[in-house]
Amino acid sequence: MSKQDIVKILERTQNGEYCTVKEWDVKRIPQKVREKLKKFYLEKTVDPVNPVNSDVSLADQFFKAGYELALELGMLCETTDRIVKVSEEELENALQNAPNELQVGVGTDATSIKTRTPSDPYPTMFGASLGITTSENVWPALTEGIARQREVDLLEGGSLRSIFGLNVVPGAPSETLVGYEQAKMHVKIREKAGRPGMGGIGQISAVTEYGQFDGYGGPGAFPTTDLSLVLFPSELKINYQTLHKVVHTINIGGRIFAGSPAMIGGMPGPAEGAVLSCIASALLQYPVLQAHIGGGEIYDIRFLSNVNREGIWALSVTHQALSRNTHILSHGIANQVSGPGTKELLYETIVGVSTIAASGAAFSTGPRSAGGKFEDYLTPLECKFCAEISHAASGLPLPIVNEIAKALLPKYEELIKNPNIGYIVNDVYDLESFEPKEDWLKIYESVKQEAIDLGIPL
Amino acid sequence: MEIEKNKRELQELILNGQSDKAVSWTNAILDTGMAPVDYFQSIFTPVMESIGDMFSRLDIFLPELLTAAETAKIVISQAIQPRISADKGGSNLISGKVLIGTVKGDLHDIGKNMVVLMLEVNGFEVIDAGVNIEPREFIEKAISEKVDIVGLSSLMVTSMPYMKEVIDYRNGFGHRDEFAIIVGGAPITSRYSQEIGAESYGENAADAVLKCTELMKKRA
Repeated sequence: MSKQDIVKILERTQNGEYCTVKEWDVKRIPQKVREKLKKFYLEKTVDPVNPVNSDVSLADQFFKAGYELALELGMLCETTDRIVKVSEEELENALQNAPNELQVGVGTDATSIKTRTPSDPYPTMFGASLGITTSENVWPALTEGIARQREVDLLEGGSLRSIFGLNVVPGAPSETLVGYEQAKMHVKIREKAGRPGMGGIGQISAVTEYGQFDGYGGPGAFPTTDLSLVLFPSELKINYQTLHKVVHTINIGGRIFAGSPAMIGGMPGPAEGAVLSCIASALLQYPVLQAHIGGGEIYDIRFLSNVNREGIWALSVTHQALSRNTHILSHGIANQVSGPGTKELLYETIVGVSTIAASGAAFSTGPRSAGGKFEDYLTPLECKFCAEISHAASGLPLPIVNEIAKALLPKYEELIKNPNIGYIVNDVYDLESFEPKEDWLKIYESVKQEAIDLGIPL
Repeated sequence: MEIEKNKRELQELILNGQSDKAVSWTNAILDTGMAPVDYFQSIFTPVMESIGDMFSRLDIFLPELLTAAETAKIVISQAIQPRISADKGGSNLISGKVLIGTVKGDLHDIGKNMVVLMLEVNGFEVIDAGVNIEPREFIEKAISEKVDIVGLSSLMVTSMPYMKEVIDYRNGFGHRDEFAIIVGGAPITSRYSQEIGAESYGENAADAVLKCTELMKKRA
């Protein structure tokens, strides 16, 4: 990765082939995806009866198809309506030069994220939580509560709705303010939790580059030993907001943590198409975005989740494909829909997170408690549980994880469309003692025992 | 039997994006003497509802839904609407006029596009403002286009505040009675929509159609 590499990409955003977003989404993506599915005999290979794929040769076929898709499509820069393509040599160089190990954080509190393969005994590292909206008065204690869970490897935390009472509006000065202030608090919280060198992910409250510029790499803000979060639109699209964050991170010597969802039911079509789009996106993040950690994210458009059968299958194939055929540090997210204080949230966690871990992903983040839709619907307990599952399930054989999924899916899948959103944090968790309240603890202990009985070595 | 056969044929034409054939086929049916409103209610609308159901089951995907919606728009504008307008006392097929966009700070459009399509296949005239739209722009366009409803979409919790800005802008400049506002998107809830003063909330694309229909009844 070098400055010259990103300069070439920036040039292509200005002189690449023209293509409108509409043509990209409605013609190019669907046509190319369907062409590859047909060419590689991948149509109708989704198996809802056995949602965790165990046929690794199928995953390898998906990889070959996704690799071709990446080279033939490239990524569309929405800001300039230009396609950014890379040559096979550039893609191969980027993948070869991608790190196979990354230390995030410093000292004894640091975490090593390493290249893995399916069922690798080295655990999938876990970062918590996703950017669930959090009120200003709850955020510090909730984030400290998450940091205190020793099982959690990296700290991300929720997204602040306001800062100093001022509503955060993307692109407005309030975003620049929250980017820096939240970063400062984040660093201090790690010290307070007794983990000063713990790795972090910044800057979840920064929708645009404004919040990232001061929030990551500035004095007192997220240090460059943390990950710089660079999210971009679905289905192989980037934009100048994304590239500002990339260039900023490269300028200051940081680490790019990229990600974008592929949608089952969206432009790539069925689950099989979403897998291809996801693989292509994960691969292109290396030459185009200079990623250190690249995302392989999947959503089912009907539920904005992936803990349903098709979603689990797509996650498993994607991560098996990437981990068996590259050494990239791939990242996956289990997108739960149920909320804190419910059994269903924990069942969804077991199925989603164990699938990602056993399928070879290097890193995972979560949870998405209550679908990420409700302010303050997040507790440190489910963050701890996610990390426990991630570590313990990593070395499990894929057929075992499939049996676990088959046993647990019937316990929650009918509710995915209308999930139980659970409880606001203070109803089920004591943020002064950093302990779950009795009912939530009982549910956790009961479901944890179920997981053990099913074969997860917790 | 005849009606079912007609529905199947029309569905195939619309799903395949054969707009010219769909228009000719519709005109041929109407030339047999069937009233255009009857055609719209007994053949066209059930076909579009069926296509919507196919998408909700993922029997078809977004690109097919988009093709179907565009074809449906052409059939309405070139075959059905002219006949209805020509009838004395014929009613306008258009269920209402909706301006829809993703609020400022948010570049996501999948959810918005789905709602656009579902509204169109259900007879609404839809103006798609795009993504990352300033509050002022929503209001100015709503007034200039004389819309009935403004739909605000957001997929990011950090762009949600802009929804309230649009509502405050509308109310602050005295346009509250001119158009209703409906909100939706992954992080949006019914509770939130009430907090910010929206007239309605759509949980998903199909629900958005129901709610817009209800809003239109209130405006009638």
